[in-house]
Amino acid sequence: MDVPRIAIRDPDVNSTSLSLLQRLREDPQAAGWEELVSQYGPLVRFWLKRNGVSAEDADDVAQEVMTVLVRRIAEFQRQRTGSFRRWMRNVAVNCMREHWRRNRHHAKATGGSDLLAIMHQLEDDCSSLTKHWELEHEQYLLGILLDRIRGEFQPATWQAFTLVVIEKLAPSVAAEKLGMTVNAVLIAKSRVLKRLREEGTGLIDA
Amino acid sequence: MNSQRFKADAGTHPTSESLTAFGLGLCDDAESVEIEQHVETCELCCESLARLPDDNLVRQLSQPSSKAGAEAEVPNVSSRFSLSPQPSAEATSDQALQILKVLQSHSKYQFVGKIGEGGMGVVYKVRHRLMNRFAAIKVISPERLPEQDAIWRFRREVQIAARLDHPNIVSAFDAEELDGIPCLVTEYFESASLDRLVAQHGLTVERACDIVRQIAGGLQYAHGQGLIHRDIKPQNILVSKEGLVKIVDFGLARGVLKSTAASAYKTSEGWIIGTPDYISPEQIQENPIDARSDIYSLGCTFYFALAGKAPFAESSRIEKLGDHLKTEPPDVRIAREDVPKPLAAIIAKMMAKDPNSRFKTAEEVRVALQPFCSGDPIITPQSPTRSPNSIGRRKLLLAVILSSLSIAITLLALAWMNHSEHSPVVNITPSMRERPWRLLVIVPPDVSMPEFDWLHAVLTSADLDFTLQATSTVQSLDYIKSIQPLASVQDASHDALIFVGAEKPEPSELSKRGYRQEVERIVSDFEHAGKPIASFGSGLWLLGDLDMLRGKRIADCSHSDSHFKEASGGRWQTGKTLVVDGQLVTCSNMELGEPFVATVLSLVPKE
Repeated sequence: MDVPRIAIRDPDVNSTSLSLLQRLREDPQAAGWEELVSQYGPLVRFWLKRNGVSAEDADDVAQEVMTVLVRRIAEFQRQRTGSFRRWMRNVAVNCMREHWRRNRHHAKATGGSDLLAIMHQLEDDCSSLTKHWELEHEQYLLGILLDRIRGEFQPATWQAFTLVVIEKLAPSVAAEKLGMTVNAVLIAKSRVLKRLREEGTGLIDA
Repeated sequence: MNSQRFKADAGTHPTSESLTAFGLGLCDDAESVEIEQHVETCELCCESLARLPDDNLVRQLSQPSSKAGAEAEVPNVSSRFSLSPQPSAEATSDQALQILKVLQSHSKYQFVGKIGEGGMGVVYKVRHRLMNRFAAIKVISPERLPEQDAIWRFRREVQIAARLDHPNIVSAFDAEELDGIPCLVTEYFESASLDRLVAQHGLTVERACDIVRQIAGGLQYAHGQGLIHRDIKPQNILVSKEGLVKIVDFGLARGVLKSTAASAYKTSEGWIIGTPDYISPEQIQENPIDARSDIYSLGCTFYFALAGKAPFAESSRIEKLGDHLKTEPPDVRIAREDVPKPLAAIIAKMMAKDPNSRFKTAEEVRVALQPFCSGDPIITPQSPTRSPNSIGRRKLLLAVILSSLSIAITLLALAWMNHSEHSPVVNITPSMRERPWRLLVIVPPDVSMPEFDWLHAVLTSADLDFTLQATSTVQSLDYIKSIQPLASVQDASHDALIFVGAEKPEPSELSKRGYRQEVERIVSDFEHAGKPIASFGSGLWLLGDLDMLRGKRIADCSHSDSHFKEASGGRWQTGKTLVVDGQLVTCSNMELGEPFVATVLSLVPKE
C-alpha cells in the first residue's frame, strides 16, 4: 500500500521556542495579549450565567474583566511567580466584587446574592467551585492553545492528532481513515502533544 | 531521562518509560527525534503506544467540557477541533451533524426537532413517516459505542429490550444504523425527567411515592423478563404532565454500551454529570447483581425525589463510592420532615447495603408504597395487590393525614429547596473530611508505568484530596507529592498502603535483603494499625512474595502462572477482579481503578 509518510518535522523544533506565557511576558503585543483577553471574556460570561448569575450581570462582569486585563498587563508582566490561573481568577473575583459594590442597591434580588456567593467561593482556593472554575478554565485555555499551534502542523498530522486524542478513535481506525500508517498516527499524536505542552508551559498543568 | 537515553540505531527498543513519555509528548527534543525514528518502523512499540493510558492532559482534551450542551456559547475543545465545519451551535459533534443531514431526507423518519442531550448522546424527535407516529432517535455518542465488532451485540441486546412492553417503560423500537451511525429508536414520550421535575417544582410525598411505585411496576415486569436495568437514576425516569412515569434506556445496561459499569464513571463523564449517586454496592464491587441492585438504585432515586439531593450528595466522587459501600445513608426525614416514619423505613430498606436486607422484588416495593399513594393509581397494577394488614394500613393513613397538617411548613420548605436548587452555590459543601487522604504507594524501582499511571489518573480525576507518597524515585513523576525512603515510612502518617507492580514480576526487588526487611516492617505496621493493604495490578506479585496471600480470598489474575498461584496459597476467586478479604484488597483489572480506590478508602479505620 502506498502510504504517505508524514514530513520529518512539523514545527521547527530546533529553535527552542518560548512558551506562550513567556512570550506574553516578553512582548504582550506580539504574543497576542489582547486577543487572549478577548477570548477570555466569553468564558467568564458563560460561566457566570451557568452558575445562576443574570445575563446582564454576567455581561457586565465579563466586560469588566476584559477591560481590567488589558489595563493590568504591567502587573501581569511583573508577576513572575504564582499560577496564571490563580491570577486570572483573582482578576475575575475583583471585578465581581467591584460590580457588586456598584450595583448592590439596584441588584436583582437573586442575581446579586448569587454573584456574592460565587465570589466568596472563588476567593477560596480550595472550594469546589474554584476547582470547577479552574478545570473549565484549563479546558478553555487548551482550546485557545490548540488554535494557536494548529498552523504549525501539516494538515495530516493535525487530523491524526484530532482523531486519536480529541475524538478518541483507536489509532488503527484513524490510520485507516486518513490513509496513514498507525506508526505515523502515533508519531503525530506525540508531536502535537509535545508542542501543546511546550506552548502551555506555565499556563496548564501538563 | 538522561541515564538511559534511547538511541535509534542501537538495535534495541526504548524502555517503556521512554516510550510512555514519547507517546504523551513528554520527551525532550533530542530523544523525541530518536524515538520517532524507531517508532516509524517498529510494530511492537506501536502496539504499546496504542494502548497507552491517557494522562491528565489527554483526558482533558477529549472531555466534553461540562454539561453545557445546547446552550453552550463557549464551544469546548472537542467541538472546536473536530474535522468538519460547525455551522450551528446546536450540533455538538460530527455525528450529530451527519445524522441531521441523513434525517432531512430519510425514507422512514422525518426530522422534527432536538429533544435534548444526555450522558448517552443527543436525542432527536422524529416522525415515522409510514406509521405517522412520533419516535425518539438517540444518537449514541462515539465514546459510548461498543467496539466495531460488537455492534451486532448492541443490536441484539436492543432487540431483546425492544420486546419489553409495559406502560412504565419507554419501548425501544430498534437499533438503527443511520448512515453507518448506530442509533436507538424509541417511543416518543412528552415528559420531563425526574431530576428536572424535582429541581423545578419539588414533589409532594404522595407524588414521589406514586412515581416510585410506577417505576417499581416497570421494573417488576422487566425483571420478570430477565432484564436488569443497572442504571436507575432520576435522569432515566420520565414523567408526563398527566403523571405517567416511564423508565428509559432499558437494555443499554453494562455489557451493551460502555456506559453504566462502575468503571465508566472514570474518565469520559464530565465533571458534574456522571457522579455515582445511585450505584449499588454490588455494582461497585463487580459482584454478581440481580433485581435487588435496581431496587437499591431506586431507593437512592426515591431519596432524591423527596430530599432534592442524592443520599451522599455532599461527598466527592470516590467518597460516594465508598459511602455506598459503608456509610448508612442519612434518614430522609432529616431533609423532609413531612415524610412519614414508615415510609422513611421503606426507603432505608431499599437502600440497605446487603441485598438480602432489601425488598426481594420490585413488586414488594410497589405493594409497600400503595398506602402512601393518593387516589387511583394511574396505571392498573399488573398483578393483584395484596393489601397490607389493616391495622398497619390505618396507622399509615393516620401518619399521612397528620403530616398533611404541616403542609404550610412543607410548602415553605419546598420554596426554600427550590431556591437552593437554582443557586448551585448553596449546594456546594466542602468535603466531609478534614484532612486529605494520605496514601502510601510502594513503588518498586522498576515500576510498571502503565499501572502506576492508571492509579494516578484515577486519583487525580476523582476530585479527591490526597497526598501520594512513594517509596522510590520514579522518573518524570513530578506529581508525587513526596518521595520517602522506605526506612522513614511510618504507618501513623498514612491511611492505606498500596502496592503497584514491577515491570517484570521476577526476580523481585524483595530479594534484596534490606529492602525486604523494610517493606515487611511497613506492612506489619499497617497490619497492626488495622489499616487497609492493597495491591493494584501486578502489585499482587509483591504481596505473594511477602507471603501475604496465604489463605486469603484474592482477585483472579489470568496472567499469573499457575505455579505462582499455587505457591502463594491464596484462594483465587475465579472471574472476580476486585476482591476484599478483611483489610486486604486485591484488584487485577486496571479498569476498576476507581472502585478499587473507593474500596480501599472505605476500609480506613475511623480516626
